[in-house]
Amino acid sequence: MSMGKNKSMNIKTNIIISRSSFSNSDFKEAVDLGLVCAAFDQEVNLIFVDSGITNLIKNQSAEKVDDKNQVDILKGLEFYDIDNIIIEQESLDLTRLETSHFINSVKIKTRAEINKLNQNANHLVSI
Amino acid sequence: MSQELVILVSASPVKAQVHLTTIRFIEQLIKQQVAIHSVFFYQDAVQVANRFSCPPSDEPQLIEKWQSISLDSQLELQTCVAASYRRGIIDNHQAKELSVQSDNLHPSFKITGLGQLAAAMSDPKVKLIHFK
Repeated sequence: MSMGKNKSMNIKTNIIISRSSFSNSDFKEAVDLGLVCAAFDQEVNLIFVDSGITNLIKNQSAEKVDDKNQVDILKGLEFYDIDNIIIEQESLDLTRLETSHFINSVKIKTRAEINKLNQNANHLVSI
Repeated sequence: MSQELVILVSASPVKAQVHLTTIRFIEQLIKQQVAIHSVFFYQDAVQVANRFSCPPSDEPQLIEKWQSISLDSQLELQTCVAASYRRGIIDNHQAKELSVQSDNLHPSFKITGLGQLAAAMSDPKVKLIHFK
């Protein structure tokens, strides 16, 4: 395993998260998979759609539901070169949420742009 | 470069039809001599490896079907260690760690790390097929 900016990134893996925060272990298990794939030099995109976008809301009070702050998990992603944490524009449009509600590192992409990313990926895992 | 398939299963065994579809798919792959790299169980799918599960006799006996696939094809059925322990599926090693009387992992399955799946996915000749 290796970490760092000079790794060869031939294999692209997209992981799609569609279910809301704290409802199950989807987020943790998706991020775990992303981290391990990145450690094996894969280029990983974490793509949040539907209710899954709520996982990325900042200032969540996880302790009030006896859970841990899952957004903290994302802070370590850049060390594994996971730069692409993506929210689907169309999913965002269905809510009253705005970009400012989310952690800083997210990128907003349209469904068409995400489809293109998926077409170019070697592996697609929908959690 | 000959292609190999990694089969990823993430559906709970309660969704029996997903497992049955996966098993039928693997049977066809074997019949057509398509190379299968590995079968990896993640998320709720790991619960199928619980040797104490007792589905009603008139419902699909998934563990027997997976065992049959494993024996006939020599395929290793891998379950994710973190997903397994999180759901109470433990092997002999973890049973000793926890000082409990018995493990509950069916002998057809092997608990491994996510790294096994990621390493397989890093092989350019491997294609992932996900059943959920």
